[in-house]
Amino acid sequence: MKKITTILLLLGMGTFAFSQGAVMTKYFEKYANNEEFTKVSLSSKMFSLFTELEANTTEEKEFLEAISTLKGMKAVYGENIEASEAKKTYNSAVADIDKEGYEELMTITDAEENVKIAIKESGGKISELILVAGGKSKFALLNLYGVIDLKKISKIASGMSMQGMQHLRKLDDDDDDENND
Amino acid sequence: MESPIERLIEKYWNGETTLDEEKKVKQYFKTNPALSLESEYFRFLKKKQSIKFDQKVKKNSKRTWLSAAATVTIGLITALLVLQEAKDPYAIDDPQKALEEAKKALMMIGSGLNDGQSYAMELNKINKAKEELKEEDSEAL
Repeated sequence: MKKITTILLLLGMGTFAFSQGAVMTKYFEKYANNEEFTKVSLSSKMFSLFTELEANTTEEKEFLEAISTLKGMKAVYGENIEASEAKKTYNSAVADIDKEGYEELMTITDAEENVKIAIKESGGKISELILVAGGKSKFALLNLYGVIDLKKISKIASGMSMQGMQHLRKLDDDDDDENND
Repeated sequence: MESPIERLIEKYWNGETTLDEEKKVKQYFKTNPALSLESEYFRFLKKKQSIKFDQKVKKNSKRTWLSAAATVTIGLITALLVLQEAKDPYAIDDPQKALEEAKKALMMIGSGLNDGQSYAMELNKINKAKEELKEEDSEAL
């Protein structure tokens, strides 16, 4: 009996370690059968693959540097959803983030969209970042794992925003190609 | 002096009898209960055998049940853990697409951060303008 208890205890601890990213799992499950929401997950293996890529431009180099310390990424994007639904989802996601013990980094609230970025720190470094964005017909929930360097991320965004990048906009949209010569 | 059966019993106690001979000894005591002490022993043996059998079944079933439960639990949890690791239906396997998704994500976060910064800067500007206005006001007075 003692053995069994020990084994169960160990396994319990194992599952506890897996419970990381509970917010993402919740929304993955919530929209599992909803085609309006795009679900994305990048494994740590994929990120380790990125470190082997060679950069041709400084912009690419900055980008690859910024993602070289990441260990995983999960995201849910909703587009063309009802305004009330977008708002509701945004609010519930924000509440979930607060409940899970993320530290708020910033919140922007304006007429176009709401954005909240929250982080988890360990050993003076950002180990997890979560972003929620809710627009009139859009919703995004994004979770990064690994060592996150905000300076680098902010830098590549300011470099690329010259090309007309916006929140919630798909990079692989055709109209973007005209700008990325 | 010694009857064949006595020799056989002697042999039995020495542990030298064959199975057939043992049967003979047992049969002898069964049919001759007069030799009380030894026949008592054999009756006890027979009784003990049946009791032992009962107990064994009970113990075994309990143990089997426990080990089965433990095995099932361990199996289930292992399967769950493995599944949880493998269960990533949204994982992107195409590196090119993955890279674009990563880019898109970082852009969102980065532009959110930059927006936050520009908001802060605008706020600073307003504050500065206010201070300047105040200074002008005080100068005018």
